[in-house]
Amino acid sequence: MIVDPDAELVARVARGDRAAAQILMRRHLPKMLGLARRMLSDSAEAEDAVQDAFMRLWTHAERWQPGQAKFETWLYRVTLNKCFDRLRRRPVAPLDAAMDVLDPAPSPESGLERAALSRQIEGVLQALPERQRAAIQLCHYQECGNIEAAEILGISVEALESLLSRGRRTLRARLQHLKDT
Amino acid sequence: MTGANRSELNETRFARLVEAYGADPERWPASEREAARHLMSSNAATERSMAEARELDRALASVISPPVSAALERRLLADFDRAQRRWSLHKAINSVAQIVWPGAPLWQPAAVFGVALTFGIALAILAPLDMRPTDDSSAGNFALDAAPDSDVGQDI
Repeated sequence: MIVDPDAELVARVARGDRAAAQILMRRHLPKMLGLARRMLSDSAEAEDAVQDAFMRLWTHAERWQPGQAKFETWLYRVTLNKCFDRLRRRPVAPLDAAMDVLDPAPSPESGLERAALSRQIEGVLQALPERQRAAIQLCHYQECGNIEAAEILGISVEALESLLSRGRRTLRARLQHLKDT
Repeated sequence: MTGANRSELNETRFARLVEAYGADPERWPASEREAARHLMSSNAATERSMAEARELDRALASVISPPVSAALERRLLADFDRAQRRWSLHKAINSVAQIVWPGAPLWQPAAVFGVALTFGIALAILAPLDMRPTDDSSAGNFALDAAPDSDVGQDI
């Protein structure tokens, strides 16, 4: 039996308790939005994806059955699926466009602003295949354990490790210039 | 690899762990964490892979997360309120249906109501004209016309 810290709140949301909805939203919104922003690289679209995910929570809370899976895992999966749906609807951008952000980069040592460095790394993350990007988001930024991350992505732990390794290898290669300059 | 102990975790597996999860032991699988900690600085190869992974971890950590806007929070709560209103309406219809047809799922009384409504509309459209009720004024005229006839008998 999984002990879920959100189970009581979800049950209250199902009964129409607005205060519980607010607590649940404030607890999970920053993480879900962070995930969506890094998956989609577009703040407005990320907000829409998260709004869709929460709408699903508001309308399906009464069907939630505690003990089967952690609520947070379910919410991550819904948010990630909303992001994948939006990514699939996008026209395919050439890889060069995603990598453009790398070219003009001065090194951090030469006084590059943290925000610029952040944008640069986000650009490199964005250029990764979506499953590799999702695996890195979950394990690095969302601090999910390997079992939880694999469950969210619907894959085995071995497959998760493979996605993570390939993603990190690509990132290291593409961020090499930061070390060289 | 789950349930690995120190002797099972060799350098190859350690290198794979670091390559996948990075240099922070907190991100390593719980079942292998302790064994892996002992290999962290066991030789030059493991130290090198840790240093490379640490560098990438630092780069990833420099990504800034913008704060959540108050407008988004308001939008989500407005969605909750809308969903509740819809849900309340659904519950009200359901409770009326339970009074009309206790124990039945909502679709059954809804289906019966729908069939009755369709039948009524169809009947109104397809009924022949002479079946329609006559208007009240002509009925009144008939009553007035009939009255003198009944008086005739009373005179006898």
